[in-house]
Amino acid sequence: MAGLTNTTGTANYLLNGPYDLLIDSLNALYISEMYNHRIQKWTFGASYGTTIAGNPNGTGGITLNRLSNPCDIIMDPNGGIYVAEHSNHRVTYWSLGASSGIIVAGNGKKIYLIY
Amino acid sequence: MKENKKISRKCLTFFIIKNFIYNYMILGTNGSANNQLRTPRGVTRDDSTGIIFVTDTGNHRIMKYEVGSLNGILIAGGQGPGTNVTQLNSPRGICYDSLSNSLFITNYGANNIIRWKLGDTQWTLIAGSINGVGGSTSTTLRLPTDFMFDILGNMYVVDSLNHRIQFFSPNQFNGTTIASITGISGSNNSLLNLPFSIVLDSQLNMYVAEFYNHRVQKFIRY
Repeated sequence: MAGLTNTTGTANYLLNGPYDLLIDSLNALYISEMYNHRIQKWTFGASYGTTIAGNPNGTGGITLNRLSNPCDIIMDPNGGIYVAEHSNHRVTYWSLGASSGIIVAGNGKKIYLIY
Repeated sequence: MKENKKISRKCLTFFIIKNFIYNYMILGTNGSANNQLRTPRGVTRDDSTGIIFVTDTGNHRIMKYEVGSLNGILIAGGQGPGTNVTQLNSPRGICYDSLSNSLFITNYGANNIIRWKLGDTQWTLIAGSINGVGGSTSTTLRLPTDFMFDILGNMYVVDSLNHRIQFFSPNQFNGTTIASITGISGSNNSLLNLPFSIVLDSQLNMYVAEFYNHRVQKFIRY
């Protein structure tokens, strides 16, 4: 249905550590990939996913346009999604079509260090 | 030799600094204060109010967030990991039920699915062992990660370490295996390898994400 059995990678037809699923009213499937640090949307019948949160190339991070080990995802009635980010210790909300999220739970603050 | 020691000391210093940067700059900060989380894995929402509930897995608790507030309110657990009815143990998947004003929680480390009514100080058992003991019988689970209800009130449980999906009729503690074979992992189409998540479409077809097989399988309604 999505991904290739036992094969990991960052290409749009592959998955790495698929963690949570969500389905919308049009039967599009949303997949959080823990190790690709991204949320992919697979429209019904598609053979690949498109990234709706995080970096399509699979690199995670703490900035608000990145995710770090995303776990559960839920959708609100406006089509926005909430992402529980395991390693950023925060939950972010991504409005429909947004290229970055806002923090809605957790202290995802960056600590600046002076050397 | 001296040169080598110098180099290894340099390497060690670099390693320490690199780890420090990684932990404190690249990753977010974590803790157990009300405005902090530790390795959160689950989130659910009350769509009538916009309030969200977060499974704060590493703190073994559930936090509630009013719209616009980053100060969490403790709703459940927070008493350290454990198996008694006032504790949670690495909670994961979560779902808010407006009808009963309660949260259904996969109490992963305690091998059960529980219900925590808002305002209560303890949980009630929905599936799995009340004592937190994992197993592979029809009434037990081993590290459940996720669940879903259909419109008839049947519950589908992802029993991750048993590599199976369990089906429970309403108010039943006896489950039936509807996908894969108990305790056997594999990569062919009839087996699962560490399933983590499940979702049903409106026709009750079932989609299962397998963490170790890096794939999502669709099971046509049987």
